[in-house]
Amino acid sequence: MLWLFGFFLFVIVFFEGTITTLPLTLQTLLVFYVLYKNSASIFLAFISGIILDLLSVRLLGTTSIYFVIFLFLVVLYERKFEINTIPFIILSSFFGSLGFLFLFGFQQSILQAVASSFFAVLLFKVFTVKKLDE
Amino acid sequence: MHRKKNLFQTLFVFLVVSVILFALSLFGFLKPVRGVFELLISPFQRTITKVSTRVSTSFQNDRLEKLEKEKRILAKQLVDWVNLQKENNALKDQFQTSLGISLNLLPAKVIGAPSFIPHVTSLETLILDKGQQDGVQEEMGVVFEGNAVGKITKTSQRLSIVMLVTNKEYWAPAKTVQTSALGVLKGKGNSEMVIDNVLLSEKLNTSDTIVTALGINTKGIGMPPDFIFGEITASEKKPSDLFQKAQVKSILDFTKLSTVFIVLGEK
Repeated sequence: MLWLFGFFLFVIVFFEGTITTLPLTLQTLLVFYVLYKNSASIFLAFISGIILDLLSVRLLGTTSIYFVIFLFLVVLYERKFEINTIPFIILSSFFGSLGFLFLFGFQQSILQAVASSFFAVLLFKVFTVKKLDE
Repeated sequence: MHRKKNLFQTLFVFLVVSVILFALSLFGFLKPVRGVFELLISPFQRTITKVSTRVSTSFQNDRLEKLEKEKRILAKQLVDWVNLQKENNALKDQFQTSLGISLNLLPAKVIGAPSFIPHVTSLETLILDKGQQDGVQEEMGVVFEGNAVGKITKTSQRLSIVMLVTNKEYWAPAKTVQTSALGVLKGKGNSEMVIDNVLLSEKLNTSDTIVTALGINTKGIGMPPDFIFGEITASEKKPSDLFQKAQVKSILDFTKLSTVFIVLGEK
């Protein structure tokens, strides 16, 4: 299951760096951490950030810093509240996407953030069912 | 508790590593390493873009594409014809001469075209497979079949980013072909442009072609003159305003571009 997630993340990173501006990698990392809550998600956040920087001709480390700080905020929130819920996924993915799109200068930020939230919820639902089957 | 501590430690380590990488990248220490990794990943980018373009063009009308290409060729021929006429008149007057310029063009493949919804929403940037090691620099113009595509805004060893002429942050001096009215072309996003800051005394005709004005700077960088931005679709002229403006539509479909040409300078 973890390998499937890793492969899926790899494909998503290349899609995001090539044909779409939607922050799908961020959503995938969020769902991965919410479901598995392990250090592997932080390592994947770092690596996927580096690859995205290479694909998008940004300074290396820029996207990784954002992803790691985002996961740090999620971990902080987890100390007090439950994160394995749809409302949390919707709100964190929306604000995380909005920040990402605004920071890296993409257009139609709000619309893209809403679309990203839908993607995150869909991913959460699919991988929650798969995890229950395991 | 122990797991949380581990997580925080891991987060801190990766944050520090990311910041160090960022600093090294900022001061240019990672250029050679970056070049190697870009060489490894650009085939994947190219493949994904090719497949994506092929899927979207399979739903499109071949006849329409042919007509669009013919329109672009005719628009370029019109610009060339008007310029020839002006040259002839100038030579007859014997007061001015216009020198033809020969350009040094570098072909570059489009390996990335990110947009909100691929091939549906408008493009703002393109990713090309040529970079600093091929002589590409920021602010260089990018053209295709006599049309202005955009300008280079970022470069790395092997890749570069092009800001399209329809991008909200793009602006450049421009002029009309029929009346030689000078103005500033600005991108508006959503595949639209506007020519602004045109004097009220000038004439802006609907369907007139807008081309690049001025040219390459002394360093050989910029957009050469007489490359087509698009056609005027509607004009706005209010006597109370200082300037008039007009809406401009590009005759180039940026989503279908697979190869473009970077203007390295004059030969």
